[in-house]
Amino acid sequence: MKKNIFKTTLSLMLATSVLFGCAANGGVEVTKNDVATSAPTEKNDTFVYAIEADPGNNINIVYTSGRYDGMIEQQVYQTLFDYYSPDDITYYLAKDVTPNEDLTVYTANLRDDVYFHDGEKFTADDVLFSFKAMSSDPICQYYSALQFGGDGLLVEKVDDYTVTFTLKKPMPNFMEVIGYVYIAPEHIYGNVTDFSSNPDNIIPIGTGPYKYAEYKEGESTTLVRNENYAFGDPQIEKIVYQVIPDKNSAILSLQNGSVTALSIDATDIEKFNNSPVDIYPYSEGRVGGIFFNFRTKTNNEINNDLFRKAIFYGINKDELIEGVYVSEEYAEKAYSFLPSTATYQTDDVEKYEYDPEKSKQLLEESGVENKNLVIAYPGSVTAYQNMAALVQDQLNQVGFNVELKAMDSSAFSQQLRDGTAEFDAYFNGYIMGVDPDTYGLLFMPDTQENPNPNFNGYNDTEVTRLFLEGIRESDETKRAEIYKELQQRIADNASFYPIAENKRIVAISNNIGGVEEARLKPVYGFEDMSHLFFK
Amino acid sequence: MFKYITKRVLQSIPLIIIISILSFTLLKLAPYDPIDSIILPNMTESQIEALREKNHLNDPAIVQYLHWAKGVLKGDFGNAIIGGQSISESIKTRLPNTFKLMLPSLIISFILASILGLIAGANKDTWIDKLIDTLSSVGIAIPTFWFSLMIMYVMTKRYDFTIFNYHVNFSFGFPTFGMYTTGAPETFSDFLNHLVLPCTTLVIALTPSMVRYVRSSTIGQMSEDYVMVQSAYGSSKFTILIHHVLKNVLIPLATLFGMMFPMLVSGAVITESIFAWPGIGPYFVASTKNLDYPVIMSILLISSTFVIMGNLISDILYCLIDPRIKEMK
Repeated sequence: MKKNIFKTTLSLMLATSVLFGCAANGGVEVTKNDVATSAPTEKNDTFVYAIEADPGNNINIVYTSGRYDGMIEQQVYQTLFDYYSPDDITYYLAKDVTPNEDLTVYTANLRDDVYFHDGEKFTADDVLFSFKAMSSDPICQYYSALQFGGDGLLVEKVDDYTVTFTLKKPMPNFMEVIGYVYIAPEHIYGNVTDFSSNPDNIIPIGTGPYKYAEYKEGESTTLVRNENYAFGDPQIEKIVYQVIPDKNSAILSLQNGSVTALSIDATDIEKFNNSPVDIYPYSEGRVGGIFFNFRTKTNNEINNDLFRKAIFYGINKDELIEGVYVSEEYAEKAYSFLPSTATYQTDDVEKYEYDPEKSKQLLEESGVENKNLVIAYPGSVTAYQNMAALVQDQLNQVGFNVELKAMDSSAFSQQLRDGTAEFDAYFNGYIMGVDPDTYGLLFMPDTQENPNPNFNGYNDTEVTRLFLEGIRESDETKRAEIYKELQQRIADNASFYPIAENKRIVAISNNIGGVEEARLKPVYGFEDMSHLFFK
Repeated sequence: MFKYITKRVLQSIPLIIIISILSFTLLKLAPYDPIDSIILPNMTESQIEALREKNHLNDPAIVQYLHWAKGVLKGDFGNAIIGGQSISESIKTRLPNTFKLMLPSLIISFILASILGLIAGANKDTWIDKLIDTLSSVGIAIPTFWFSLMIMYVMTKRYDFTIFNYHVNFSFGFPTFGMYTTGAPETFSDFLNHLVLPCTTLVIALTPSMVRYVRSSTIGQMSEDYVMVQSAYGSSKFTILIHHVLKNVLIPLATLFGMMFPMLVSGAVITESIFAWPGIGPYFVASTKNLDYPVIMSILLISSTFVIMGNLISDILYCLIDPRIKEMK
């Protein structure tokens, strides 16, 4: 019987294929089992990277701010160096950067053998120009970081291949911020006043391993090998960023080999068990968790410390990680607001390990009558959908009455900022950087030093004091002390519940080599795709 | 006739203006702020303010509307808030892509529906009618996104198995995404290859409701006196159907055609997104998600213009088909 069904299906499928006329690369191949089948031997020269949304045709160092345009920017342009941590820096356009004794003047020696894609030589003028462009346009995403606390940065040319950076006072995050700056050619953009729409953005010219070749609206962006790349010959001829909005279609495409690489959710990994695909999880320093809305319009008891702690003890982190990220291999449990990639991160904080009895007890102690909780989450993200459902179930078991609210992520921040939000807590995550100071804006109220306040009404004078002290301090050990205290303080306050530090997972066809060398960089995808090759 | 067409065209202008005002108002009433889709957590209030200013988001609604309408009259839809690209350029490349997918699908569905509807209607309550009716019900009930994924899965997968000591390795070889093979030269056969799956999906999605429409109007015509007279004269069923019933069924078909016209723009939003077809659909979905209102407005305006044009075309077709309607005007 079973065989019959199988036969019918097969013949039906064959019939359909005849009906449609077999597609170009289709066809049936039947061989006797003992005869070895020859693998397809077509020569690969194109790396197809599937992306969810159109990266647009407006890549430039000032305006680019998204994940997908950023991935392209990273291949077309280069930085002086890519910064991962104080002892993990890859130098590109700078050979080295050395500070003076009091850490106020940094001298960068530049490479003198680098050419832009149009053949012009890269010099110190391009560095000066790029710093000026990025630090003077408020639209640039690194604008505020480049102000260095309002003191600014003086960039000066010593000679064609030497540049000095002068600060008014030492800034502990200096190197990290300099690593954000991509270098664009002054001879092309020198006179541009508005980067947001500019004909020169259509084919951006940089020094990176790949040259921008073609953009097709809604379809793809094609990059071709830069033959004059100063850092080694790129091995793959073409890189195509192909837009595939539907996740399932993208997965099928990777399975059948028409796509070479794709970012996936942990729950999709098992779909590649039988496919010639390797899985590369890497940390982006992202922390996801539950924030509280201290200006809520629904249940004001959220300002009660014991009530929040009852929530903390009622959540089972292990179950969340297993349910949403499959295992700790793809998401480590988080206890501090800092990711493990940040400097001075510590897990020596109050951990609130799952304890339903304690949760019930605290809930009682808090004396709160209204146990209703509205928790919002970005409705379009599968991971959050699952996480929210699990948390709802866990908290209802210890006596809360949780209502979930799926929201559009842009509606989130709007309502929080207005103070009109009708939810008490919300799922969210952030990728901020390496130095703990960058995280200040998540936990500091509106002050002169922090003109971009957190949106949830959290205000703890002690936390604010510690953040301000941290950035003013340049002594390593003292900073470590300050940030340890800060992490403990935020945990003790029970103002943010960190769930996991989830990794980004890239599935790459297993005929690709050099992934280690090409290195996956937070947000920007591959650091340098010139190292990739077809095996 | 010409006078009538001119009159109808002129009548549709205020309609388009009203539609544009309506959709603009609705978007303004939405509880979201488009600025949220461009700002990043590390931007300061002054940066956000600069962005607002740049995108005219601080102006009163009426000024924003007029600013936009002025551009549209010049054929310039402005720039998208997200990414800052010219909307006119995007639409110019995407709309023809949508046509390339929708036009063959609509034509196939239209022909298929007319034939099946006539057969079913003429053979009311027989097994063939029941079969067509059941298939239509199933077709209406199948969600497009599910069908797209199923057909994609079956038709793009590489089958590799051993049966009776024979190793079988085959695939239908259809592509999973796009309009052309990535990186390959753009040939017509490559295009057809990419067209088959989304087109089949759309035909399955569009045909059933049209079949029912044609079927019910055929049934209505079959009970008319002229059919009885013709069969009394001894005409064959086929002759009656083709020479007499078909002409009368053409009027509802013209309505159907008018109804289908706007689908040229908005008929394939889901299918296009799933098959990564670079048309209007994914563009519309992405900008709706980000509340990129200049883009949404432009697409709404174009599709409502197509609705009005569709109605106009069917009205004109009525006049051509049925002399009685012409005399009435």
